[in-house]
This record gives sequence, C-alpha cells and structure tokens, in this order.
Amino acid sequence: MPLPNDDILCRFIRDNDWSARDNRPKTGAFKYKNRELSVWHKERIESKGVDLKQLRLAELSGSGQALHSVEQYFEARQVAEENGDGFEMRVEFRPEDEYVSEAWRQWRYAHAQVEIVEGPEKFPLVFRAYLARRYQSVIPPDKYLPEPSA
Amino acid sequence: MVNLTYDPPAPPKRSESPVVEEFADGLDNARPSPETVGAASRIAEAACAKTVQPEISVDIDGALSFDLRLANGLLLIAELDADGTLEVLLIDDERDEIIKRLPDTDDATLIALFE
Repeated sequence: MPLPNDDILCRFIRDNDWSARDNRPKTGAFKYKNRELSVWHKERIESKGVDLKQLRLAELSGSGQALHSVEQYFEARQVAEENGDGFEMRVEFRPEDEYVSEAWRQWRYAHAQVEIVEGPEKFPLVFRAYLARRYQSVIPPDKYLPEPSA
Repeated sequence: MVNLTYDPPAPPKRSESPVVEEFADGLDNARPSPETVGAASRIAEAACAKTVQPEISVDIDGALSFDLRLANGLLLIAELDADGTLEVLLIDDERDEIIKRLPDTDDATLIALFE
C-alpha cells in the first residue's frame, strides 16, 4: 500500500553514518540493500504508545534518527533525475517477514520500504545527498549527544 | 655447494589510516584491488591535510565515504566503491545547489578539488 506524501518515516542512523562536524546524517545512512531502504512509519509506531527509540534493538542500539516525509523522498528522487540519475521509486508498507528481523517482529505492521522500481542498481549519490541534508528532523546517535550536566 | 635462500615476498603495504585499512579488508567477496586501496590512501591523506574536519568512514556496503568541508565552505561528498569506481559531488549548501557531479572520476581529479 503506497504511503501518503505527508507521512513521516524514520531511518535509524548508526554512529559511522553521522556527521559530527555538520550534525546531520551522512550519505551512507541511506544505504541498505542496493535498491531498497528499510524505514519505520512514525505515526504507526507512536499510535501504539511506543517511542521510536524503543525500536533501537540489536544492531540499532544507540543509533540516531532521520525523519523525512514521504514527499521528501520523492523530492530527492526528482533532484537525482535532474542530475541525470533518474529512476522510478515507490514507498509502501512492507510488513512481510522477509523484511523484518526477529527483534522488530512485533512492529512489523509499521515497517515500510523505499524501493527502486526501475532504474539503477542502487540509490544514486545525489538522491542520498539530498536526504542527508534535507529532513524534517534528526536526532544524533547516543555517542554524539551532549553529556548531561551534573 | 649452492646456498639456497628464500626471500618471502614483502607483505602488501598497509595504510596508516585505520579507516582505509578497514576499507582494504573488504566485505564478503568484494575486496578492493591494491590500486584502489592506493587511491583511497592518497585521497584520505590529502583530505586530512587540506580540508576542514574531514569525515571518512566505511559504509555498510563496503564503500569508502568521504564527507568533506572545503576551505571555501563547499561540501564535497565522494564515495569510492570496492571496484574502484569513484563518484564525487560538490555542493553549495547555502544555495542548495550541486556545483559539480563527477560520476566516475579518479583520485587525482578529486584531490585537485581540495585546493
């Protein structure tokens, strides 16, 4: 099922994929499988009284968050096309088990996938550079959060 | 009497940068060639010498990723894949404009942009 443009998606950001210099994700944060990007639907998670932070299990432990509207993913696709890297893309709920590892199974109903339908074998750098710089909000990985004052 | 000696081949030169070493180790069956590792070392060395707080990391797919702020304020993003493909983006953040895109370039061309 395609998602409405104003829905908000969360991509978790590992330490390596965070720019401490500019306080934003790096382009590597928007790599997953070559033609797919795994994300979580913010409203669906929070409507169950669950904070997105509670999904930071297993390899996501300590990770940050990048929140984008669906529309921003399509804006990134448009910028890629304008720079000669056009592709067809869809953003939809993908609760199938193959996309959700055991640790996240209970939230599978809120799992979504950004996917190249037609075009290159991986998301272009221009596309990922847009997402790294244009977002609704970001939260750094724990490692980069300021120390709480005494 | 013939004196036979065996000189083992010198081990491949390792980079002094831990992140380049991590890149050189490769992922699964995708290990970069010595030439690609050499290019990675040259770019990393130049980035550390000529850019502001360079951020260099190995991505989840094994590519070496450079997130660099040039002295003129422009953002330079480069990704070196294990197969040696090097893509570069030069971005003016303030004007939200891609100044230059080099989809398949070489390390010397990239390093020249640091000046």
